[in-house]
Amino acid sequence: MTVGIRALSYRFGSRMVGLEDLAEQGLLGSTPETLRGFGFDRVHIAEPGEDLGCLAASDLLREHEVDPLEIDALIVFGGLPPDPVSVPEGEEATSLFHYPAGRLQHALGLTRATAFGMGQQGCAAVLSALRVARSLLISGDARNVLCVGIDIVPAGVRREVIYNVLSDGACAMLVSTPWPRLRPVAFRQITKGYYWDTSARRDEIIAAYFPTARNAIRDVVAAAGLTLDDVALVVPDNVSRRGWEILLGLLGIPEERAFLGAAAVRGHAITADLVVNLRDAIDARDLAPESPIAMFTFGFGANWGAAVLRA
Amino acid sequence: MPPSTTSRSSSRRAEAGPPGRIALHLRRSPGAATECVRRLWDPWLDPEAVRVERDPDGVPWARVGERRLPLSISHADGHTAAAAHLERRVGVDLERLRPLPPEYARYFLTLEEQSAVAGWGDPATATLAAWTVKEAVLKARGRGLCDPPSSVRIRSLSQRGVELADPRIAAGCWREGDHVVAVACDGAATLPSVEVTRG
Amino acid sequence: MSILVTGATGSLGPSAVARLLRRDAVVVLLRPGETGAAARFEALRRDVVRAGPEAPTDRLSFVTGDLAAADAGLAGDDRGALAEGVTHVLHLAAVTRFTLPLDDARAGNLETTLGALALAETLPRLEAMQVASTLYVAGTRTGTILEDDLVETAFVNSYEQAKHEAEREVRARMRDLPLTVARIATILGSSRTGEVRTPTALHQAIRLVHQGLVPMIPGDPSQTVEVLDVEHAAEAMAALLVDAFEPGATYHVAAGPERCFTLQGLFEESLRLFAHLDPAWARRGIEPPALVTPETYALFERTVHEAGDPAMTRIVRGLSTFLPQLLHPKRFDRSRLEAALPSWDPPATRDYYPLVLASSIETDWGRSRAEASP
Repeated sequence: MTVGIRALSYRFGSRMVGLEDLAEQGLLGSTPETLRGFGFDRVHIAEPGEDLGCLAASDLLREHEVDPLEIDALIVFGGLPPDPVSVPEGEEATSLFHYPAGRLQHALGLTRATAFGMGQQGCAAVLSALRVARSLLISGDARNVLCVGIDIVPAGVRREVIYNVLSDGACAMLVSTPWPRLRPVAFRQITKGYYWDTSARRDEIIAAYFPTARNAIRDVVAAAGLTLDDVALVVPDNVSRRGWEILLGLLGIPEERAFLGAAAVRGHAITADLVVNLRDAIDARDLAPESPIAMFTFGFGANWGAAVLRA
Repeated sequence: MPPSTTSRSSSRRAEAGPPGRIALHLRRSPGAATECVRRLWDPWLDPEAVRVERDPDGVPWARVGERRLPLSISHADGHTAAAAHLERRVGVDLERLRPLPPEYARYFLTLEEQSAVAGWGDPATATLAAWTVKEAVLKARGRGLCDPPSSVRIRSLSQRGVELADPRIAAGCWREGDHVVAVACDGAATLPSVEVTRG
Repeated sequence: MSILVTGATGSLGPSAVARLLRRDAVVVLLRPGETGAAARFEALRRDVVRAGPEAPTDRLSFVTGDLAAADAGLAGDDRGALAEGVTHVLHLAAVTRFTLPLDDARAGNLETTLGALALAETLPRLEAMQVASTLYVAGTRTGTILEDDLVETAFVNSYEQAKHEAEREVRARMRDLPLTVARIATILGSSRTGEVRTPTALHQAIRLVHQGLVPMIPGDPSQTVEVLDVEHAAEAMAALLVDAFEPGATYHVAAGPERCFTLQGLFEESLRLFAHLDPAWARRGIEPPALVTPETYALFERTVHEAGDPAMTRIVRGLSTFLPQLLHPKRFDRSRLEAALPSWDPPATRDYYPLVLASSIETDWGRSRAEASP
């Protein structure tokens, strides 16, 4: 049984804002010069009411001529927690039970799909969604699983998190069987709950990031029966380019084999990064079928997630 | 100067181009979109009557009463560019002129494109100019930045003109003071004349 | 006969004094300090007893002085008494901090050595004097370092340079005075109790690793981390001064690669022991630091400085005074030491490292040193 990623799409907030403008609005902690040195240049911000998740998923269904009735499961994920809901005092708490997954299932017409959410993994939720989708397909519970990631930073919240600048974005990924291309063949996720309190453990998280990331990538490549030299392409998330230069140095992988540079034009769209970069990389690079692609992302919580796909 | 442009002081039409013109307005204060619409529809139009909205896709539109016109808007360090055509979808991108680190070229330009943009004449900003063209084209397609940059292929780039691999879309790119501007028009083999006004 | 010891309150002092007391009377030169020399002497006596319970401390005495001062700051009577009785001198006094400006490092290491040499000249019965130095007078040299080598080189920190300069002065005086030099490896701690009397930069690094604050370290995983237990360092020094003195000799007082961890081995064993000693620590999932190329580490350092992150800047700055030494792997030849002390057999690091780590964790890395029962 072959399981593969049949389609990818993404959407960004329609308003583009440069680092200087963000700094003027008090939305950065570091200087624009420092962040530019780390590989950022601008971010995308959603206008009120922009339904990026629905747009990304609609694009995918339309452009790939997928009948909504083909979708057996919808997984909605994100790095940010859902918007907080307040219940007026004395009123029934039904508004606490409004879920994006259900709304999206209805808006997209996925009437045959079971819908559920995935989160509490920061940026790493995207790989967990892919892993769960693959499991559903392998188990025979589904033939087509649509994964939709949505992250929109609340208005007024600082856009910089530990030297990374956040964009609003959404992605959609259709995982299907049988499908011979972009086959996920190995996953490795390291969760270290000790770092659950991101604020209190900030310095330790910075220190833990590199050695654990290296281990996660080495492990997943080995789990795929490969060596690091076999990896044809590394698809990164859009945390600072400088961070990736260091990590690639730890791994001994030359920068030419990584699809770097997107952070400058995309910003860090939290869970959408890997889908964005995977889609762009496939379009830009001439990858032979079955070429091994390694993906990695880190999510607060803390989670280090890596996967190997065969192109 | 943009290729095949008209200015307020002179009028020069492109040869064999599609009918109509692209109105492009640049200014440092609000109101670029409104001024663009007035140039296309009616210079006497009351600016207060023009509303700029975004559709669910995030695409900006100008509305005057029941009439609607798709726009393209771009911001760069306090400056705004707005462009529109009465019959075609256009895209505009405005960037502050600056050198981009060379590794960005590897991200969104193929090796062939890296050679092709040499015609820009200024190696330090050629990558930026190419990026501006790609953004304008993606906007003209009505998709914005939700398609891969590599889906736009540049065959040649100079300040005299841009040649794209896709014959169904035309683009131009030029220096505008401290900025670089690119305009693209969907459904056109050559770029309509661009009337540039500055506020 | 009596043995004069300077720097007796330092990391090696009590252990060295305990072993010298087995051989003869010992008089220590003490600066008054804040509490006065007498109070410092009493504290030293207790430390000597802890380091060597059988040491006859009834023949331990002190004089008040300061090597940085003229005539070593000694009172006339004390000067006379030393001239009458001292036959051996062990010069341990030093300032071992790596972060000092060069002038301050020279004051604490070069100037004090010159003061000790000047004092030695006033001791007509002097038969032997040993000056404590460090293996890392070799600076940024790589490869095999011979005991007789004292080559012009660059240095990783001011301590290395000041000690190198002090050795040059000692070597220049070897024609006139009965002098030897003992270059001591990094003292890891007591192989008997695990106590770390004076934490070194290496201990600070291991502490930071324990706290999960070190993402990477530059170096070759297979290079040796040369450390020594305090007991054998002290015994070697005592023996080389009193039992097997050979004027003009320089010794590498080191355990040797076969007894020491590699860099990778040190961190692996450290984390294994941390987890064994504290299951709650094990649950954190702290990774050992990645061992990286100098280029990658330099990029990381530069990134930390550009980001201006206060905590990581502090960590990187603290590590920068000794981590670069890892980029210059060396092997210290010990031929002369082995010939002079054929039965000297220090323990492998692996054998006493658990004690050291346990003691370090128990005392919060030296912050709250508990009084051990004798």
